[in-house]
Amino acid sequence: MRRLLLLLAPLLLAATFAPVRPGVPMRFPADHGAHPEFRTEWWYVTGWLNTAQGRQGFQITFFRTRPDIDTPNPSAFVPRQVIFAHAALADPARGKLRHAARIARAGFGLANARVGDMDVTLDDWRLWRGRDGRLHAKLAGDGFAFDLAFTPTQGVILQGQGGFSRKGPGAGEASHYYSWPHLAVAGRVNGAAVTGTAWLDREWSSTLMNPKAVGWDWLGLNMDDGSAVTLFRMRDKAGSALWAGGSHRSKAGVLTVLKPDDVRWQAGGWWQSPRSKARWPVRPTVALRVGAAWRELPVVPMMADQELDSRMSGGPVYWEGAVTVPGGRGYLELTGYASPLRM
Amino acid sequence: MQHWQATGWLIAGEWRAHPVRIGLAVLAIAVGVALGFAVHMVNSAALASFGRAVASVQGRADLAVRARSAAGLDEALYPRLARLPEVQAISPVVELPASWGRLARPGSQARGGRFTLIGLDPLRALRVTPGLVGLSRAGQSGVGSRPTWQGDAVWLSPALQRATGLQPGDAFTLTAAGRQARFTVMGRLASAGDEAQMAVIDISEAQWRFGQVGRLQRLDLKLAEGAGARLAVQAALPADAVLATPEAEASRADALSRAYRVNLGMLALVALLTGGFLVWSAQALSVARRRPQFALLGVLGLPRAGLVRQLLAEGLLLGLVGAALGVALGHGLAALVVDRFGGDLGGGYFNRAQTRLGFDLAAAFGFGALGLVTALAGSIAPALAAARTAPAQALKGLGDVPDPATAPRAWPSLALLAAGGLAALGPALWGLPLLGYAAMALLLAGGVALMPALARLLLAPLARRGSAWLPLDLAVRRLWGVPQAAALALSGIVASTALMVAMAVMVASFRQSVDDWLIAVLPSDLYLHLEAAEAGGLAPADQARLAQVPGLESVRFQRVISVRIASDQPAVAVMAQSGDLTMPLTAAADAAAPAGTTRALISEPLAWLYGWRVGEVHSLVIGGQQRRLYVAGTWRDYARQWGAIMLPLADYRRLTGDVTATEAAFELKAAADAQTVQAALQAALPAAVQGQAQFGRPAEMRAVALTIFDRSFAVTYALEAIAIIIGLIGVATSFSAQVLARMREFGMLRHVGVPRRQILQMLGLEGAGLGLIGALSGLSLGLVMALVLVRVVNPQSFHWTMDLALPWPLLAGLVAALVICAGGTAVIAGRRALGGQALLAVRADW
Amino acid sequence: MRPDTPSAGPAVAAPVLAATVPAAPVLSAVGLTRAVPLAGGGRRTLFSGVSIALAPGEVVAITGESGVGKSTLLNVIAGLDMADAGEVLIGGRNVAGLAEPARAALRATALGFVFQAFHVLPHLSLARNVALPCLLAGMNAADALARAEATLAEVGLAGRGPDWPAVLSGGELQRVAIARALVHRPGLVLADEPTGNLDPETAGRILHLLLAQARDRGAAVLIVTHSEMVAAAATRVLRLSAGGLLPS
Repeated sequence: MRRLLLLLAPLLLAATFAPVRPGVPMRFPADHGAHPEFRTEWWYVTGWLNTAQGRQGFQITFFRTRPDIDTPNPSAFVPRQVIFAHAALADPARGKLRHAARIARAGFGLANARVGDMDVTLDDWRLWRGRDGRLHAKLAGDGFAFDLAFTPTQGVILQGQGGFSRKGPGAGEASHYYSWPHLAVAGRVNGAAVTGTAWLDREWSSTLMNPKAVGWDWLGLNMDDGSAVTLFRMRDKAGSALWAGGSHRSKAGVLTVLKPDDVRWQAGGWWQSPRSKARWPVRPTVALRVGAAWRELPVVPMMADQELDSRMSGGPVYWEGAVTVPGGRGYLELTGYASPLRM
Repeated sequence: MQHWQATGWLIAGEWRAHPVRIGLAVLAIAVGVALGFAVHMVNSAALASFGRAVASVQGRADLAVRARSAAGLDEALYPRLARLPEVQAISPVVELPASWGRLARPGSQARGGRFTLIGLDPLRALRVTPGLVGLSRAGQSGVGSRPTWQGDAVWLSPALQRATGLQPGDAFTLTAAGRQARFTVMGRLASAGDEAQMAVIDISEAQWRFGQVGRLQRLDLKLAEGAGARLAVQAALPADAVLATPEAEASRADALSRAYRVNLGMLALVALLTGGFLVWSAQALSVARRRPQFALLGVLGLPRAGLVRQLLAEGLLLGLVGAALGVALGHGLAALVVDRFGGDLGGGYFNRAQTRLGFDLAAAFGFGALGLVTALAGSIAPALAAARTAPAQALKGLGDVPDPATAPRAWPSLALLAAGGLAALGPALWGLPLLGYAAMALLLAGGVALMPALARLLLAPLARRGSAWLPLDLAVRRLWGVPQAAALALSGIVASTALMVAMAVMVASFRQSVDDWLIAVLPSDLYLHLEAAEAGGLAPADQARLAQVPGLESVRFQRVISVRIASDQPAVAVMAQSGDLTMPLTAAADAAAPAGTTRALISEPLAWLYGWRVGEVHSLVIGGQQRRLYVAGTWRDYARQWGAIMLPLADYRRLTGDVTATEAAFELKAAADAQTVQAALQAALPAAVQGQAQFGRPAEMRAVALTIFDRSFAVTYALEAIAIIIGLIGVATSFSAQVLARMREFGMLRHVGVPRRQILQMLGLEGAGLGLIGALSGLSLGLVMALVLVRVVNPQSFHWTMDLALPWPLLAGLVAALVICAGGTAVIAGRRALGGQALLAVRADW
Repeated sequence: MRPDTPSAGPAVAAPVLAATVPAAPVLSAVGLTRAVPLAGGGRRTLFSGVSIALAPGEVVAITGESGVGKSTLLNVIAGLDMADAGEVLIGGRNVAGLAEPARAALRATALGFVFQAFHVLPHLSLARNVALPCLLAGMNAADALARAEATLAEVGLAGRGPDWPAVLSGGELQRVAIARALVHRPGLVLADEPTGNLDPETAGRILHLLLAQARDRGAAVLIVTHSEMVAAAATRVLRLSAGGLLPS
């Protein structure tokens, strides 16, 4: 899904965008808030819910992007920032996603990403951190409504080197990236009380992808024993990894940062969408090396059809779905399979 | 019933014997149906494409909040409305009249045009008016990628792209609100429809480059279901915004041309009515001539009902053939008219839309049925009269001669005339002069029905005195003695003359009044007008530069802006004029304006449409607030049918802060050369508006205005010419029929020794006499009907008044033509009747 | 009406019956009185107490001075005019008691007419002129035209069916009229000065043709005439005067 940002973020680095640099320490709660000087940024909540109808997956994503515009235009409509958001509910009983999208240029108090702490609003959609330290999401789309609170049970994971996460072989190809696994979910979906476990991904950057990359795969897992696994890889046209990375944090809190050599990703379980005709490897087998030991995880999706088509609002077709592995569950993201997204 | 077979034989026999008369009746119906159908088709096609164009520019939102004037709305309304729970989606829009190239008067070679410039936020518009969001060259929506809708990007509607001939990547220089900017064409608004001339840019660019920062002209809304939603939005609106529902928009589009369409439709019906008269007179004559035939059939055993059936069947056949022919003819005519004149028949109402003609089956049937009904109605009276005749007398030749001793009754016709007079006094119904038209129909019917009595009254002195000259004596006695027969021929003449005269007088009055008005409203030496400059024209610095051009004695600036008073009515023009408001007024108040009000003049249409009266105080929203206006006078205005309000420029500037001007009137120094001054003024204009600037001198402006006037009345003239031709042919045929029917009489006259020459003279005199009576009666009736058109129909449909002007040479020519035509036809028919068969005619009964 | 369709009602059947049962009169009028209004007010009695009966095949001539009401008497008999008193029975049916359509139907089936002025329709061919009464009596067009051609042949106009009346002489026109009066086999032919417009030689031929054709079909003929020759050919001659209808 991060791929969507690439549509809004041309690869040209404008001098006015802040560069991603190593050694910049993360500060909270300021880094929960927006970083408008960077080109792109996202707040990405995924997770599993326990509902009266059984387990369901959900995705709530807010994006901020800063168009490459430098104009003396005094109009309040100049799109200095654009906010957009996607939300989806994965219900195995329905067999495919319910999803909705919103987009607006920031301004007039209708769309805004606050600096200083987490509070992103887009009309009547909102994701924010309350004074109680909990995260809250409130939004509604066609046929579903979320009113959820996320209570942290663990600390954040600073990905890469203290939050500086490389995304490619090039020096500047990186992002500021932290994750917040094992968020306890409580609240209501469509008015009915639910519980569950969620994952927050926060990333901001001005230069994300290698020019050869056509898409990426990402996996975030809340393991039943309290540990957390993050895996990602950048693919080239041939489908092989240009770059890979991730992390493992044990139940004891020991963080292992994964280098490209520590991640193996075997695409598999190809499913073809009847709508977009794209083929998605929805049952990959991934492996990670923690210490000297390789651990292999066969990924099983909650259902094959978790494709999300955001082309109507200018985005790509991507696959974002609830998955399980032995001893854990989380979310898998696949992009760049419907078409090479090179702009 | 085998009677049908006999009926068929008799009809076939009759038609074979008189193909010209039958053909004429068919043609009359066909022409009426064709005109009605064609006018209807052209109008509905034009209205539909106008509606589509309006819908395209609006992008088909559920509902729109519109600014009352081009000055727009404060953009703070946007978040306020967006937060209403009833508003599901909202899209703010800057909408400006704009132009490209060099706008020129009709006929000039310069290339350019007007269009609607739309500035919108594609991200918002996607959920409300997706049709307005442009597609990039790759066919992808411009949203989301590197914002291709940013900066100098512009998308063109298909119609505008065709007009400009621009391709993606080309530069497009456009002018709006007095400013010029260059954009790059990104692509086409594929789903914008074929009619609208429209370009779409980003809302921030539209605000910045055209001086609209902080302003919006429109907010498109998608509302939650439920009746309360509109009320909630309505409650949140400031004074300078109106809620424009699709119904109101449709009604506005309809109102724009309704009166014009209805009037043309009525004219077409008048043609149909004339056709009905012709059918009636053709059938009545044919029945009169065939009376012995019908009597024979009665004696042989054809029941009366069978006779009525036969005559109605004749009428039905006439009607069917005429209606079918008329529908075909009408379709062809409509296609031709749309091709040559455009969808508004040259009326100028739909200049931004292109018209597509479709075939409207329901309307075809409707107008065809109308033709059929007309033909049947024309046949029914003669049929009943024929059935009433006693067959034995008719067979002996007694039944068809009315007793000269019985005077025709006048009171039913006088009652019709009185009813017509009363109807003319009635008010407009549903905004249309329906009672006025009813008055015209009643007057026409009454006038025609009065003819026998009138003819007798007029001829009485002549008949009493007699004449020494045999032909004249015979002619007068015949006319006096058989007024019913004369009335048959007269009715056609009277009806068509009356209609012709009414139309001619109305058009002449209108044209004269427009001409007088043009002279009155164009007192200066030179005028400047900026086209498509609604949103802003000349800045004060530009105005100052113009004022300093050498050779000018004085200059008066004017700012014209359109303001919506009611959401379902077209906007009215607010004209702020510097200097004294000097206009030839039709009504004026003596009192000074009350404190706290602004002195204003209103046009006649405005007074009609909104019921404002001189001396009253009304409020008008300008500069974002309700302002109190004191109506100090009304002036006659033919230019703005939807109303205009004139204010002092200083007051306008004080109220709105808008200091631009869109028009200027220059007085030149006595020695100055207008051409030189105009060139200097043109050079002094800012480059941005040079393409929009149009200079005019009163003489040429008058010429242009009258050319446009004549073009827009071209269809009226055509209808009038057709009515005249039908009328003259009707006169000719009814005369020749009557003459041929009197063969026996001529034979007798020759037998008793009247020379052939004298019989022809008698016929000529009879014809001319009838023509004169008919033409003079038609003239008087036509003048009364013209009065109804001028005093009732026009004010009620177009909300303006005019002075009656009589085109005497035309009217005199018309009368002379009718007299000559009637007399000449009688003589020609008489020659035929007297050739050889005349002696035989005495022996044979028919 | 054709005799081979006897089911068509009494008015139709009457002439057929008349041919076989001599006793029944074709026409029986009793006590007919007719007055006309005068221009200056008041009424003038044309005739009163007129009674007449015609047996099938009988030829009766009515003579009288001009203006005495001979034509009016014929009109009253034909149901085209109404008597002020008295009644007319044709084939046993009271003419005055019938509604207009029924009177028309009675004329179409039971009566034939011959006029002084021929009254042949100029826009119809001879065959169609002759076929008209058959059509009005309910026959279909093809049969009517065939019957018309045959009848034209019987009056000496064989093969002239498609011609137009304009090319015919007066005598020929009256032959057409006779064919038209008899084509539908009426029981009674009413003739009003049938030879009045013809020269004496032609008049004689036409009169004999009319009487011969009527006799062949068993039809009675009632002729109004001034002509001695015509009166001489009749079986009975009656004179109409203000006093009534009396044998002359």
